[in-house]
Amino acid sequence: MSVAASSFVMIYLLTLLLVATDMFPMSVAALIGALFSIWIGLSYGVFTYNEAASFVDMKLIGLLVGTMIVMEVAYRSGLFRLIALYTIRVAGGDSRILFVLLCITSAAVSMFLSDSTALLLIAAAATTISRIMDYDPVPYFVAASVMVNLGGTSTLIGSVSNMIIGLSAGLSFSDFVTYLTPCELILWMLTTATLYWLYRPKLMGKREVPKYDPWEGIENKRFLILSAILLLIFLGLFTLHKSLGLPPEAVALGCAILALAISRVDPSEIFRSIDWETIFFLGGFFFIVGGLERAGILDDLAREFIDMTGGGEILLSTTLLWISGLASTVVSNIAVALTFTPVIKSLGLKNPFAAWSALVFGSNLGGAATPLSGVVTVMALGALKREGFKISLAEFTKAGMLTTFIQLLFANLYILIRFGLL
Amino acid sequence: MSKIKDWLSFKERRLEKYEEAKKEFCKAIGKPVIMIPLELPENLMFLREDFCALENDEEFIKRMQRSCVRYLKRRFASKISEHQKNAGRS
Repeated sequence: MSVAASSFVMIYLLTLLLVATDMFPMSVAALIGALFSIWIGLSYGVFTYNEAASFVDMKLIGLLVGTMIVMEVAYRSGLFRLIALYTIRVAGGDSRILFVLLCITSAAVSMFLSDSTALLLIAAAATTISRIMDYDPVPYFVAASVMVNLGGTSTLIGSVSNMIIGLSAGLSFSDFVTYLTPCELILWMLTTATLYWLYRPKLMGKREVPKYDPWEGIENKRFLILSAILLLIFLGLFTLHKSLGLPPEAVALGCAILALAISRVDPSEIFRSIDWETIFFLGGFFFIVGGLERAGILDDLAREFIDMTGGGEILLSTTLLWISGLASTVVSNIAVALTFTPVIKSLGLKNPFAAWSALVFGSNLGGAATPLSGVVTVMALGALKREGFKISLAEFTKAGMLTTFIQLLFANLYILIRFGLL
Repeated sequence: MSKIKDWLSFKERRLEKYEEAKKEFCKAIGKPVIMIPLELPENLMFLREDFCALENDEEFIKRMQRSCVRYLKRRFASKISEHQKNAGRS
């Protein structure tokens, strides 16, 4: 391995270490890594300055920013809060029904909202109702973090790693629905059942819930209805974007402009709500992976993969699913998706959908395995601490590891059957 | 070590959205609570410390609560009687 290639590998591993140990905010760690990658790349003539500038996928950034704006406007309209309020009302004070409904709502809301926003919304709903009804909020918090992480796997816009994989593989919104949704729905049920089984002893019986009208808390009903209509248009355009000849980032940015126009909220407030940390992390990591790619490391990794699995699709998809799944329990799922995407491309598979699906499942599902696996679990613990409740790391890990293992196992089986590999 | 502390406090800041959402849920489901700024009159400045302690004085809070009920009853008498009529009917 050349000096430049080994330097890129070192930079990559050190960045992941910095992110995993929280020594630096993930965006800063990735930007430091990017700086060194560019320096090494230019010094050793691995790439030119102009080539380095092309590492950043502006289409992906456009899709991400556009989706974030649309969802932030929908969030501010109170649409998702209304859904959570109806969920609590439908449960009618029965803590067990509420647990199951909050699990499903968490996953459903997370299909659209960013994982952190979805988690904070559900956690706030769970805290409020737990205080009023004197329930233990811990089961709801753990279940919400696991289900929010799972829900994000379902659609092209559900998570950043899905956007990375979708754009690189040319998978449309409807491809995600066709290939992944059947498995996702079963995973929702399996995970909810597992969490219910785990927390059943902690869920108390039925208590009378105070009467309330979910619409009463909505300040601007017209804004909410307009946001709901815009969200439907957004989803409709995403479903049809391939047949309409519209790239996904154009749909996202177009709808973002409409969302800003209808929201009447100061745009600077919306822009402040954008998750810039993720965007800068992504921007930095593009350079780190770009360096690895130009130095031929990822091609070598692809060859290793083929040697290891003998080129057989069953073993290849299974290995990819479990390696990316285990990796995402420790490092950011964005890093996992960015690393494995060029590897899958280099494999030169005739029918790559099984491999892409394995990467989607793997990179997403590991995100709630341990308390430190992802932003969702860290936030759930932070919110619980703020409320004065304690949960041992072992208890959280038990629930996270068990559900992650079940999810990966079922996803593996699904991929083998769905793509006719057996 | 200080970097880790900074990073943890950075994550705490991200929970502001959680507090906002919680407030909205409380407004919709829980009992509404209002916070009003009360100023110490200029001529009683020498009671500054005693005034500040009122924030945690249970007797004072009870009196304020009673005063609030009296004010609401007087100010919205017609609304209250209408509500009682409707409740009686149902």
